[in-house]
Amino acid sequence: MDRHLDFQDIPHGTMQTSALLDIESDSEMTSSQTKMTENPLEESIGASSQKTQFWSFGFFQNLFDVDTDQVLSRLYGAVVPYPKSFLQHHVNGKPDLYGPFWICTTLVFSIAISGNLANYLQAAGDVDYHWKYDFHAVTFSATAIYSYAWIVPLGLWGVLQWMVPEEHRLSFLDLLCLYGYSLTIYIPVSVFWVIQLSWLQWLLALTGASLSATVLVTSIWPAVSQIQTQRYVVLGVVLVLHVVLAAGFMLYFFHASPVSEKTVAETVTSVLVNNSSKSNSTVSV
Amino acid sequence: MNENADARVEVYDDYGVEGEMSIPGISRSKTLGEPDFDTLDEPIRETVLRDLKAVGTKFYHVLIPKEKKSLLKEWDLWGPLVLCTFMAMVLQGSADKANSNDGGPEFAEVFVIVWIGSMVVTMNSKLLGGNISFFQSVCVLGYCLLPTTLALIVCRLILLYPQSKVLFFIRFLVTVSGFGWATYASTVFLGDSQPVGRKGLAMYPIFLFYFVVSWLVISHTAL
Repeated sequence: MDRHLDFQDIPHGTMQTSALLDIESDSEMTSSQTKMTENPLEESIGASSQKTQFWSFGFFQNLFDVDTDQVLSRLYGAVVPYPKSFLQHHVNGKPDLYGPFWICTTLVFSIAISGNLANYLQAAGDVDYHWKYDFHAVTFSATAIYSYAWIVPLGLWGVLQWMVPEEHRLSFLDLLCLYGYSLTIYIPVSVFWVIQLSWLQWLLALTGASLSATVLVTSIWPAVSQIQTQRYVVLGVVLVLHVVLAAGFMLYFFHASPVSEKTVAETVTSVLVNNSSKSNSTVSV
Repeated sequence: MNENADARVEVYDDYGVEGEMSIPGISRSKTLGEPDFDTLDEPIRETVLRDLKAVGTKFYHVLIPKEKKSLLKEWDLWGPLVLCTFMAMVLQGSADKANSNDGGPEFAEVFVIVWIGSMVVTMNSKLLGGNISFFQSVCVLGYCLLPTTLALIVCRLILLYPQSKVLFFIRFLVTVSGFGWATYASTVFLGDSQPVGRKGLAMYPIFLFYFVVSWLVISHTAL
């Protein structure tokens, strides 16, 4: 105790060393801080634990809680129609949005890119061609795909809410997951659609549509079969929409039509202009 | 005697008020971010050059991706901004309709693809449980556009000559190597931030991102 009280007598030299020590500890602290920032692992553990406070982030994190092999098995299950349904066998009540989101995004660009390639191949026959690439194919395919993958599950979910007893209903996330994954087959199909053979394009469209439609039907059948009278109407609408999507992709982006797109647009506009001028003239008369 | 004393006080006061920015004997640290570093009394040229140098070293690390942490230490968005603006300016379709031999994207569309794209890729890796801050990842993804930008410059130069199949093949090779390089570099920088079973899931969107950008580069044919 006495020694503590004596500390005023400490000579100047030790004061300096203590000051030096301070500086050292300070620099140690900063070096450990820089270590922290150097190591992204430690830094963002803190950040992510902070972020999970918001329910939205945690909520979406749950929907992205999948591993690579899990996603791969789901992709496989969405392409090869199992005897067991995709939802019960592969998803198992744990739907993810990783697959649907990136499948849709991949499909948007694979359709836009291979659609452009198909246009190029169609134009390559001409001697005097300019390959005009159309970036805005991305816009069209994105609109079609994202709206299909959101609106159809939403509608189906509404129908199921309305017509099916509660214990047989499918959740909206299940349907979203199912529809997203059911588009998987169209990614390789869209690459092969580049080959400009009409029969092959139709064959691919039908094969792809029937495979993924089987996945869809086997998954939603347990719920849809609970509908009393219009169960085949609902099923029919689901199937028709799916086939129309496939056929629409193929005809719009890949199919070589005898009349080229530009001339169609020109004729349409000329007809419209003629009609409007006629109607104008009738009005003025 | 009295005057003398006043004068001394003045001198003392002057010294006390003015002070000195640097304390003699203690050497100032020269690196940014350390405690004694101060930028108040340095020439503005040094300040600007230091930032330029930081951007330059990041570009260098993208071209030779050896140190894994080099791009993660301090993020900035200058490099991505420069690269993105340059690409958007070169890639945009020509304005006059008469020369409508291009269906290329608008300036804003390239901008949106690069920034929203990198943000979506980052959000994806955050949602998968990646241990990296948002802007670090956006910074890395943006800087790794450098190889594709270089490919765009080379393609643009090749386009000045009359086109042939050989030249197209060369453009294709250049673009593919730019794409591979960008993907490899970003994989080196971002690969460690993911949990073991999810590396593939986090890497696939990065692959897709650079694939789309490279598609824009190879498809750009209008002068």
